[in-house]
Amino acid sequence: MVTRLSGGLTPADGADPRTFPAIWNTTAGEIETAQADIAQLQAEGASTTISDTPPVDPGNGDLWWDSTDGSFYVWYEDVDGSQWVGIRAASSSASIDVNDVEPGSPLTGNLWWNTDVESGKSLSVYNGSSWVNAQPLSGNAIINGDFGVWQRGTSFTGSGYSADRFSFVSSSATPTTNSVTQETFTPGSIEAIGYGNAQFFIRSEITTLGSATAPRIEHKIEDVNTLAGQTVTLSFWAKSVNSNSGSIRFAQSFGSGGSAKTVSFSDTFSMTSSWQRFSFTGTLDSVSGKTVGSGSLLELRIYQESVDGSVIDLWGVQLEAGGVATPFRLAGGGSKAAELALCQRYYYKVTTDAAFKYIGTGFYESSSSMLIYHHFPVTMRTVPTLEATSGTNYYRLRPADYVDSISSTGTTLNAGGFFNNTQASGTAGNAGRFTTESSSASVAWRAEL
Amino acid sequence: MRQYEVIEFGESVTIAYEENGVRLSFPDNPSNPDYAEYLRYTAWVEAGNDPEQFWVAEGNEPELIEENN
Repeated sequence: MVTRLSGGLTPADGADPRTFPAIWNTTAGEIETAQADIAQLQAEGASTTISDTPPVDPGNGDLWWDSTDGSFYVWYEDVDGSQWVGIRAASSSASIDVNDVEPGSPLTGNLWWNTDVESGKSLSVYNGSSWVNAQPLSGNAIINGDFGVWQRGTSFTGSGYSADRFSFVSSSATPTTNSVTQETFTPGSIEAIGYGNAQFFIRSEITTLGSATAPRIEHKIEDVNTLAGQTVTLSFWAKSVNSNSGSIRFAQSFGSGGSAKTVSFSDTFSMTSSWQRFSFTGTLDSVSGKTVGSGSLLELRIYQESVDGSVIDLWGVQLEAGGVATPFRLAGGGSKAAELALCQRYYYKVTTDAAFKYIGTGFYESSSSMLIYHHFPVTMRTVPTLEATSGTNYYRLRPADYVDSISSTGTTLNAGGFFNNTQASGTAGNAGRFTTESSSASVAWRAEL
Repeated sequence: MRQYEVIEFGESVTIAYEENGVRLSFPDNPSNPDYAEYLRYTAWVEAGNDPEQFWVAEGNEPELIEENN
């Protein structure tokens, strides 16, 4: 960027300032260096041209100072040709502009901190032809945004959680017929949308809506302070075999005993049958002056069209600070193990919905009560609820004792216990392996928002 | 209608109920959302309200943010 240096010489009256480029483009120290170079070469008989185009018919040793960028060249004739050879690269004239309007006449490498709030106060770099995002990556606030973790299963009907951290919800009623399913990318298809490390996407399909309204996929983000008062960008890929429309909305919920729920920005989108990345930039409301209770959260709602036959496929959900949708990345930094651990803060499936699977070591606390303890893989968000299916002889403290159900006891953020004191029968102090005995037996800990 | 059980086991208190073949059980810890809901339910009943109406009210809570549709 051409800027006048303070303390530099002033061009002669009416003169084109480009004839004094050193005054305008570079530092005082570099001016002195360039002047010394030129003086020495001129003393040796070379001509010097200051121009924004190369001199015509140069002679060996002639000098050209390119007034467009400050580069300095010598015309060098050797045994097999002649050419301009750079003898001093352009001074590093990259600048940093702090402004709410795009800088004019930028040079490659210039940086621009856009102070425009609507644009999200983003940092860009000029690549020679356009400004491109140079924003340091902020985290993705959406856990399991690539729908890689499905602890609860892969096919669901009605309302409730499906892929970890995502739930299907509708107002007024549950749709008459609907499904939420895990779908597998065909090899190569995900690469086409710029991410080659994903396996699954989510599909929500409403065959018959009935009296349900506002069907949607929800994602709850812990703590209403998350990104509050900031410009944020939500992005995701979506498609719909029936080319349905959709909309997005954020709600800030202030938790138990907190202020009333509020809505931040919302927007709409129209899908085709092909994957397409949508992004939405807006500002989440400040929580200043609000009362925040326990269990507060930021809620993302992705609505699907409220009609029979409504279908939405989703992948790569990302919520980040700033006004630009950056390339998708997982909340856990890219590791599938880290993403699973983040999910397990809210829900931990102990069993695999199969018979004869080991859950833990148990013992008889008395002749009529059995107790089993185990540790959670990660610290849970809150002291969790035990979700355990029940049915005839679903569980067994081996070698001999069958029970239909279990309840939690002594639960903390890091460990939990199961007990049965209605059917258990054994010798106090004896231990055994606690296992599932039915393929319908399922044990999980839930600490969802 | 949901039927809560309050079970004392050792030094712990567990609240439990069954729904759709799943037994849900949780401690008497205010940070647990199910326990918070249990407390709201018991307060509703103790105030002389019809227990069944608590779940009707819960299920049909006005969806405030839909008003902007």
